[in-house]
Amino acid sequence: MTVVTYVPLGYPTLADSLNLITELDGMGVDVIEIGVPFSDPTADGETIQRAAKISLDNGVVPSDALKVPALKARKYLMTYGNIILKFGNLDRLVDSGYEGVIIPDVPIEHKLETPQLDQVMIVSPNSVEGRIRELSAKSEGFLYITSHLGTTGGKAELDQRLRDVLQIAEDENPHIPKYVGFGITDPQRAADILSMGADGVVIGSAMIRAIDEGGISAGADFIKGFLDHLK
Amino acid sequence: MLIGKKLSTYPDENGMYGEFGGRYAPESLRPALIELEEAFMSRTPKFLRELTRLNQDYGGRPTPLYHAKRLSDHVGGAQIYLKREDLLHGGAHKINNVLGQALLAKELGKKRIIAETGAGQHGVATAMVGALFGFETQIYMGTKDIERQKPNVNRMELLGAEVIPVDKGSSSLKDAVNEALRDWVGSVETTHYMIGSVVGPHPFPLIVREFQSVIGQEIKEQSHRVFGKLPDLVVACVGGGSNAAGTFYPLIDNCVDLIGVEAGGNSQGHGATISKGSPGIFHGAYSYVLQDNDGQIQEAHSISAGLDYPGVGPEHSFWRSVDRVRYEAVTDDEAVRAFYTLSRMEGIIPAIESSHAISKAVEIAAVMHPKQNIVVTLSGRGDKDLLRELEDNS
Repeated sequence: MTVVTYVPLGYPTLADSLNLITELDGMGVDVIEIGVPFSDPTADGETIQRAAKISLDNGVVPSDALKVPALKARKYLMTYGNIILKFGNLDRLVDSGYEGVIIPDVPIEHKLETPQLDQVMIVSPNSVEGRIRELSAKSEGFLYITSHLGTTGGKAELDQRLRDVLQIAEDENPHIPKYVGFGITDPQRAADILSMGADGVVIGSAMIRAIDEGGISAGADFIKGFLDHLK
Repeated sequence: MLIGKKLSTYPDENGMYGEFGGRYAPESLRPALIELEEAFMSRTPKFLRELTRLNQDYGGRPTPLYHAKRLSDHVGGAQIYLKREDLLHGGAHKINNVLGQALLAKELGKKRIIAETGAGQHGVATAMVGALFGFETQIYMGTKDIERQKPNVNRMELLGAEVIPVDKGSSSLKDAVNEALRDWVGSVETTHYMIGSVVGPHPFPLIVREFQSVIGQEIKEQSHRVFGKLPDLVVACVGGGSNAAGTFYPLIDNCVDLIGVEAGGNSQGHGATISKGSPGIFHGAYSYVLQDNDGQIQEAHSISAGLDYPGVGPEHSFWRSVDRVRYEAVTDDEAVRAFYTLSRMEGIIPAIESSHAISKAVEIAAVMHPKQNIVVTLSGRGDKDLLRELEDNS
């Protein structure tokens, strides 16, 4: 089973976020999503919105993603479509060790040209069966399944359709890893989701709240709690 | 690729207007967007009759095509006609769209509606149909706009809507749209997002254009009746672009010059998205947008809250790309001058948004022949702008 961590680049500072990434990599986090801030993050809840704003106020730019060092963990870039459109030569991401991109506002119909980079597709609990199958078949790298409708973070109960989504995705494409994100607040919820058939969980907003309280070391400790409990 | 294909046949089945448009939205919105598209495409004769009845008896359609003779004589060029959307219930063209969307929301069984508003005109229109149809209604509005459009906030609340202040980003229309989208991503199964302009993911630009096209259809009929032919030039202001899309679309395949007027702002900034922006992905569509080199969206600036938006409807981007519509910018100062000119010459107080279109029409009329005809869409009335204008000058 896989622990995925979303790290907002440039939060609380660029140096802190780079240190945190290195620390998480050393702890054995399997996949790290580097979040590049966008001015208008409509798919994000309060926590990641605030982190993105601080990051932008810190002067972080998309090309800072190239400063993330080589990692043992698989490295993905998560941002919005317009940032990717303006990024310029995407080979630079490949050269920096990125395996792919996750773009919440770009559905598969509008798949961007990202040669040599996986484009991870996102499935929602309200996706119809045909759509779940299509995205399971076509997603690259892994399949990202949101645990509830709504934006990142959030305290909503698990959507009961999640179990069905996981089963349909598994039936359609057993080879693609299925990671569940949004509102993964504690190791017990993560364990519940894994028991439904997910291959991994994505932790983002909850770790950022831990950083708010106690800095990046608190963020790393928070993730260690998941690793200890789940691995 | 465009040869032989009429511009009126767009968008295609993916919501594309040439290279613009699309459905750039989070996956959780997809079922609602498809459901909405299906409801829209299968409008029944009963639906259309009901909409026509509401447009007439509730909205106040058709609106007059008024010959602004004193203004035309003053300018000394082409004859200027005003399409009087300012006379509609609520004081702006926004009612055309919300009546149609309210009927769709009712058919979809939605009990709650949300909307964004800038100048407050769309918020008021949404609050009106919220009351009329018995929807629970919440309106997102930037705190900067709440301050500069206070009378409209009071009207929305009187009509039973809740106004939710948005103090993120520029605290104006763009940020109100962001919050409405975030709400809808989570509430989509019970809530209809009554978007106020020809923006957002497909099918919104199509739906809003269709419901606003009653403006251009009436201009066509009335022009023949009033001056015996189609106008030589039609002018409308463009923020998101709904009154302009509704004005232009029925004329798009005809031989009529079309000009969309954007907010040129002042030395501190502007809202001239097409004139001065570049294509990007924003609020659900690929269209022109104000952005920096990294793709971060920039804040717009305009004296007019309704034009203070860094995006624009994708069909406008398309019409520009095929050189069918000209887009030009008018500054804050020029718009204010037109605001006064129309008030003094014709006894009509235009919305500061519409004043941008008046300004451009007057400028061009001066170099046209008195036998030529210009139609300007007067998209709203200016009472809402009066308080601030008087304050600024006291």
